[in-house]
Formats: sequence, C-alpha cells, structure tokens
Amino acid sequence: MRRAPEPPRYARLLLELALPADDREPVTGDLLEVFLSKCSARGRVRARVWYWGQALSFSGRFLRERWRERGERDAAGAHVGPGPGNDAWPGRDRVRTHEDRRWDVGRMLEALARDLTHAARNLRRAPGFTAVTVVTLALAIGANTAIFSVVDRVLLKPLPFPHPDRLVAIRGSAPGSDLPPEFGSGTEMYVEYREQSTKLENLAFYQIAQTNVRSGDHVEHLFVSSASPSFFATLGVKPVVGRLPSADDEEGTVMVLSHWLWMDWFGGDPSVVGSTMEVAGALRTVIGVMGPDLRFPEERTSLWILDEPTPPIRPGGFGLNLVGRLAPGAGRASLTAELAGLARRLPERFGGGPRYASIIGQYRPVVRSLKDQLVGDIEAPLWILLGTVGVVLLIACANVADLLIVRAESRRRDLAVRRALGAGRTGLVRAQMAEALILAALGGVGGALLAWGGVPLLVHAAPQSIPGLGSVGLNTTALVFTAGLAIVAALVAGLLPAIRFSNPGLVGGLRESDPTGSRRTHLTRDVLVVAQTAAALVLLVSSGLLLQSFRALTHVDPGYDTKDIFTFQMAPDFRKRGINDGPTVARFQYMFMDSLAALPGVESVGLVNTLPLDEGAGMARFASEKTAASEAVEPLLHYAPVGGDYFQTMGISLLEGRYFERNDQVPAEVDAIVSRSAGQILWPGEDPLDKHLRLASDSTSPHWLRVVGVVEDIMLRDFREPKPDPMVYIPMVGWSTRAWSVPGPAYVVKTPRAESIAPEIRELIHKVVPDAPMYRIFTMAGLADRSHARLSFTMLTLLIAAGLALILGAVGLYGVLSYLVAQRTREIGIRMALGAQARQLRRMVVARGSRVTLVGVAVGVGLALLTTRILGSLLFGVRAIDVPTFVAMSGVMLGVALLASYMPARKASSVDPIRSLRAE
Amino acid sequence: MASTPPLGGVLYGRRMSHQGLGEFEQMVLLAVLHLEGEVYGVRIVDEIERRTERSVSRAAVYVTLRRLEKKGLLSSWMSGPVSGRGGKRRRCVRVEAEGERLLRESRQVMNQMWTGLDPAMEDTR
Repeated sequence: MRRAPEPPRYARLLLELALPADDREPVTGDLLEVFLSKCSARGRVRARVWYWGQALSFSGRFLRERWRERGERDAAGAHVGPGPGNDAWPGRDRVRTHEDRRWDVGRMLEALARDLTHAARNLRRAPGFTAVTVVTLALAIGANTAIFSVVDRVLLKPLPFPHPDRLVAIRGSAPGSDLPPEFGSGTEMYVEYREQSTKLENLAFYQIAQTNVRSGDHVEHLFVSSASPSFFATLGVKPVVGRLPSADDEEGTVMVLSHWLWMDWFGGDPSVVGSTMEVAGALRTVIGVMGPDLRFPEERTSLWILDEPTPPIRPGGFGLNLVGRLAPGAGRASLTAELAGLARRLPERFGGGPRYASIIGQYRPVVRSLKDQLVGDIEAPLWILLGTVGVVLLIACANVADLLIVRAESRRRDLAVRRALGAGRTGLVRAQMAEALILAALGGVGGALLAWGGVPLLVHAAPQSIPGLGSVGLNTTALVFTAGLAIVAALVAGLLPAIRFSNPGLVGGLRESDPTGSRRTHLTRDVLVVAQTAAALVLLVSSGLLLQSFRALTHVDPGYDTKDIFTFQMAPDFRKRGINDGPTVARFQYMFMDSLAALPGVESVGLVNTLPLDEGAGMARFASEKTAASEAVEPLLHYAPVGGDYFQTMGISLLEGRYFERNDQVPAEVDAIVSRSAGQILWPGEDPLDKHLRLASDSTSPHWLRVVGVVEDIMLRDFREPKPDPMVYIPMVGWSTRAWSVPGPAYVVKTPRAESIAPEIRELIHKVVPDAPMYRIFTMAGLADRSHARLSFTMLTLLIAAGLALILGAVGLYGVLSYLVAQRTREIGIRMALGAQARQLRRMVVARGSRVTLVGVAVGVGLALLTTRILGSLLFGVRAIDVPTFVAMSGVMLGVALLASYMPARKASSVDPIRSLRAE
Repeated sequence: MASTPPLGGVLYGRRMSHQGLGEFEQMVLLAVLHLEGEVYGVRIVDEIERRTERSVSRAAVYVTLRRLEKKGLLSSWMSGPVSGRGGKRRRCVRVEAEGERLLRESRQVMNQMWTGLDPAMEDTR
C-alpha cells in the first residue's frame, strides 16, 4: 500500500522553529490538510512546492508579527512573561514550562548560553568521547587549514602590483616548426611591440641568471635579473630608497637592489645608494632599493640591472621574457590578435633570412595573465589536494555525527522525558547543537595548532619551484578559514543527530523497547559508514594511481646514472686573472678536475656546461653535409660542451667510436660526439661516425666538426617526455682560442661519498680559487627526486589523507558493529542458549560489516570512476581507470573492514548467555 | 445583527470607536460570520477566495485571526484530534459581540462616505 504523502521535512522544521508554540499544531494541521488535497488534485511535486511557499510565507509573517507585538509591549511598558490575558491564544490547555514561547532575542541568547554551559558540563563528564571527537576534527581541520594556507598564498593571493589582472606574460609558439612548444620572445619583438602596440599600456623585458655578486669581501652566487627601464613602470612599483633606472642611464652600469639583499648585506642603510658593487665581473652603481613585496621574477632575485637592446638587433633569439600591462579597455584576445599582426612584419623590418621568415610564418603569440604564467602547472595538484583534505573533513564529520548519534541514543530516555514535559523541538535541537559547537570549536583550535606546526613541514616537503612558497604561513585568512570550517563541521556533524533526536516521536522512546527507533538509528549509522567507506575508497584509488605513476617514473631510464654522483658549480673570476680564451680556461679546468679526482673516494670527475635535470642544455641549429647541400631547414638540437670523464662519470653509454681526448690546445679538427637520436636526425639511416657537422650560424667560413663517438640518448628535464632529447657534445676547446670556453660549468664527481663530500670540495676550492663561491650543490639523486617533486608531493599528501580516511572509516565501522552487538546482546544470548555456535555468531557480525562495506565499496568505485580523471597530468604510465588498482584498493578496504569487524565479532561470540539474559 | 443607528443622525455627534477595522480584518470577520459549524483557518481562506474571486495570503489570514483575538473581537478554542491531518487539532473561532459591533460601525461609515456620489459609481458589478 502506498504511504500517505508527507510535506517536505525541512519546510516543516522551518515552521516549527518560526511559529509560536501554541500556533504550531493548528497551523501545521491546516497546512497538512490543504497539502493532502493538493497532492490529490495537482500531484505531489506541485504540492511540495506549494508547501515550501507556505512555510516561508508563514515564517516571515509570524516572525514579523511577534516583533511587532514585542515592540507594542515594550512601548506600553507591559510586563513580558506568560500569564492569562497576556496570552494571544487564551484557549490553551497544556502545562507551561520554562520554555521560551515568545521570540525574544535576549532570551534566546540567554538560552544559548545556558545550553553551552550545560553542554560543556556534559562533555566534561564524558572525557573519552570528547577526546576522540576533538582529535578527529582537529586532524581533519588542521589538514584543511595547512593546505589552504598554501593555496591561498600561491593561487588566490593576487600579485602585489597595482591592478595585477592587467599584467600579462607574452611568449610564443610556432606549431609545425622544430622549436619547443612554447618559447620566449626575440629582442625584435620587444622593440616592435613596444613601438607599435595600441593594446599595451607598457611593455618590459627581463631575464634572470645566477652570477657572482660581490660587495667588499662578501661574495655570493645569487639570482640577478637584467631588465628594461620600463620594467618597474610596467609592474607599477616604486623604490623605497633612491630612484629607478631611466633611459638616460647607461645600459649595464646601474642597478636596483632587492629589499632582502639591502637588509641582509647592508642592514637597511640608505647610504648604500650611490655605492658600487661588482656583479657578473663588472662594477655597477646602486641607484635605488625596492620594497619587500617585489620578489619578481624569482623569489630570491637579489637585484635588477638596467638593460636595453642596442642596435644592431639580431632577430630570432627568442630568449626574452616579456611582461606587459594591458591598455584600458584592451583584453588578452585583442592583444593576441594585434601581436600576431605585428609579428608578421618582423622579417621585413629586421631581416633574419629565410629560416627566420619561415618560423615567423608559423608564429603565434601566447598571452596569459602573469599570475598564471608564474603559477605554472602547480595549480591543478594544489586544488586536488584541497579537495582531498575536504573529503577527509567530510569523513571526519560523518564519524563525529555517528558518535553523536550513539551518544544521543544512549540519552534517548532523558531526551524523551524532556520532550514529554513540554520541551520544544527548538530547545532540544539547540541543546544538542551546543555540544556539537563546543566539540567543533575545540577541534578548530586543535586544528589551528596542528596547522601552525604542520605548515612549515608542508612547505619543506613541497616542490621548491612553487612561487610564493617561502612566504606561506598561518595568517588571518587561514584562521578565518579554520573558524568557518569549525562551524561547517558543527553543522554537518551535529544537525542530523540533533534533528533525529528532537523528533516529537521521541516520546515513544519512553517505552521499554523501541525497535523502530533503533532500526532508524542503525540505518542512519549504516548510511554514514557507507558514505565514509565510499569517500575513503576514492582517496585510496587516487593515491594508488599516483603511487603507480611514481613507481613508473622512478623506473624510467634517463640514460645516465643518478646514484653516487655529486655535482656543484663554481665560477672563478677568469677576467680578473686575465684568462679569457678556450685553451687557458681548459687548462685550468683540467688542473681543477685532477685535484678533485685526487680526493679520497672519488672514482671519476667530469664537467658539462649545463647539467641535465638542473639547467638542461642550450639549443642551436646544426647542419650536416647533407642539410648544408639541400635547402632543408637545419634541425634544432641540444648541445653542451663537456670535459674530463663526463660520460664515464654520468654512466652515459658509448655506443660507437670514442670519448673526447684530453686536450687543451686548439686542434686541427674539432671533435664532436652525438647522441643516438641526434645522429639519426642529422644522418637518417646512416652511421654518424666520422661524419661532419657544423653550427648552422657558422656558414660564411664554416668550421666542420668530426663525429668521433656516438653515445646513448639522455633525458634532460622531465622523465615524462616520450622522446629523449637529441644532444651534440663538443669539447672544451674549439677551432680557435675565441671559438668558445667553459668558465663556469657544472662539475660531476662519481663517489660513494656523494652525500658527504661537499665540505672537502669547498676546502679545495678555497685553496685553489679563494674568491669563487661554490653553488648549485646537489647530488644527481637529489635532482632526480626534485624533478619528481610535484608528483611525489601530491602522492604523499594523498596517501596520508587516504590513510587517515581509512582509519576513520574503520573506526566508524567498528563503532557501528560494536553498537549492534551491544544492542542485540540479549538476542545473541538467547541464540547461544538455544545452541548457536560461536562461529555462527562471529560470521553474523562479520557478514553485517561486510554487507555495509560492500555497498560503500560499490558506491566508492562509482565515484572513483568519475573523479580519477581529475588527476589528469599527474598520472604517468597508468590510466585514470586502471582495473588492477581499483580491484586492489577495494580489496584493501574489505580487508580493513574485516579487521574492524573482528573485535565486535569476537565480543559477540564471547557473550555469556546467562548474564546477558539476566542483564535485561 | 442588531439594527443600525439612523443615518445622518447620531453618528455625527459620536466619535468613532478607537479600534477601527481594516479592510482585510473586516473580510476575515465577515467570512467567519458566513460560515457555520467548525469555523477554522482553511474554511475561512476558502470562503474569502470564493466570495472575492481572488487568491489571498493564507498566512495573512492567520495573523489577522491572531490580532482579532488579541483585540477581543474573536474567541477561539481547540477542537478534538482530527484524523486525516495527522491527528492534529483545529483552532476554531467565532465572532464576539464587540466584533459584530465594529463590523456594523465600519459598514455605516462606508455607507456614509458613499452617500451623494454619482449613482453610476455605486454599482460596480
């Protein structure tokens, strides 16, 4: 038989809260009457909509009426309180209580204070329950606050410039060419855009490098930026001391200090303006100091040197970073269109040859907000993490709701008596919510403390390339967020039990046994366990997928060893020593490498201009005899000068030919070594050995290099790249003393003491080259870890969250089953007395737990199928819907559920039938 | 109802009672008077809507009933539990003598206002 339709539950609740006590029964009865007739006439859906309308209308009107009545009473100085003649509906016939029937805000607050005191006293009497609940909430809230601190600083906080949304980064792409998918801008683009663009209010370029900065005896290797004079005006920043560079200043002679350098090195002394410092080997004058907010382009940018493009401008460099400020009314789309048009004019204005023209033909400007450019690809993982800890909070709230239900169930009789004595629903809800509020407030405080301790750990573990990471901390916004979370937790966890256990039907709880009430409680708790299980499974599957990705990534063979290799850089001031040619620098390098090799435990030493996984490698176009003869575009390849036993130290296999010989003289013919894929690109299908290649730019009187060796391919940056990077290796000395030199390479040292050898090397450097700082100090293993940092950080956090969720879910299931056993002790006792085996009873409990878990797993699998796609670019070598992972994690979940069921099952089977029957 | 005082006579010399009835209050009281038996909110709303051929705010009717009882123009009592509405009782009302008196007074006042106007205006049906 179909159940009679019922009006919407929350609409009824609204009426109960808004109507005066005496009006509730007749008004809700009348509305029910009309509702039922509307169900017959117009259908349930329309009737429900109608009922909601009436609930809102009645609530609004009656609340206004009560305020009006109160106003009249106060104006008349009437006595406020219950009593005959003062009662709007004198025909009442029930017992008055202390329950407040008139809507008086003052009385409401008084009642709230009373409820809070009462709740605090109750919670003090149940320290175990209080501790478990507070700890659960504190862990979840703390995790949320910690991740939010990072998200707030990195993603939400706008850049500290005026109108930061108007700042754009301009880069380029040339699909169909052999240039990287995205690259910087050429100097010619800066000049053209600055002069011709109407959509840009201002445009600047900047570059960042690391170099020696010296003031007196103090020398360090720091991040230094060179920037156009328009740089500061574009960003909209002003100095705190001194002035900014202007077009009148000579290029390269003046610089502006960063705030941190000014404080660290000069103690904030304004007289530093006008002094000179040596930067990158040249003396430059300090003309100003910037404010503490300017940490651009790098967090640790130490100073900015004035730079300007000087004619003649050679097009095609594509190495500048451009930052622009949009003109009023202009948008990124219109700017992109304008720049595309301007770019097409570049070959005509600046030349560059057919190769350059061909690239420009395929060129597309890429304009994005400066914030997006700086944040890069860390945005998605951070949001995933915030979502993850949000799920953990919901699971924690479900756990707490469960605990509150059990607590309310155990106080059912007390609540029922209060209800029978006339306690209103509002009052009962308020009393129970008061407990939830106190627990959530304590959980919030605990969470804030955990976050305060946890944020530094999180920052330490996070990928250091995240912009703004250095200034992440527990600030006011994070504390407000914590308070908000605590309120949400109180509502989510507390409302369900409070509403359930203030039901008018509670009076039935006074009867000895109330199977309906218990059944409803069991169902509610089962639903909570299902929800927790499902959410925990989503987290488990996600972390399982990331774990697989991490495993796959760490098993990628990059073409070189990462174990037992120490690397560092040091850049002696060769110019001061009068050394500026390839052979002399090479002699120094050999001498230095020999000293390194003499250290105990060192097996081999080499050097490379730019290290894989750190600085990558430079790129240039190379021509072979074949490509030089044809009209084909010369391929763009990575290249790096190397010296010493670089290949042997790094474990890069020699496939053919030989390594470079030790040589510090200009050779008759310069050797080259190519990687396998570079060989195939330059000489498809042929053996590269003994073939010749040259730099494409060296075309007037070309110097051909002879291939003497072919080595295995390597991965320069990201292990996720599907193809290795083709490399051309050149020796330390070129075809003339001025061809090239390698003054500041990365040294690689093969030694089992890679983790501890740094101090000895520092001492050696101090002996050999006292004025050269040692920097970029790593182990190759550390660099490899750093390259996985984004994935490993996300994976680790997700694993911790999944672990937490699993524990909470298991605790929830354990609680439900324990409660079930306690409730059915009598029944179990009877069964045992009638001959049931302990084994059968254990099976009964475990089966119950398994059923609930299976439902949770099914729901969780469904949710995971939808949500794992979000992991997107973080996955490597595994699909978002990977069946083995899903199956394995479901198995883990079921296993944990079985464990959680074990204790209650044992308890069930150890019930003493006599005692259990007597206990009732 | 008691007979109305003569037109154009005593009313001019007598001040109107302090508690005048609003239009909606009059409608509610009149609806109650029209109904017989158990007169409660649902029936009052239906009666007003039937006679005025307009929909009316149900909540406004109930608030008005509350105000009228506060003023002593209505009295109410609770019926027994009624099945078909979850066993909830109805609040039934009846018009008190003072309520009837004020209704008559209000009607008189309106009639006096209408007197002397263009006959075409009097009948708007």
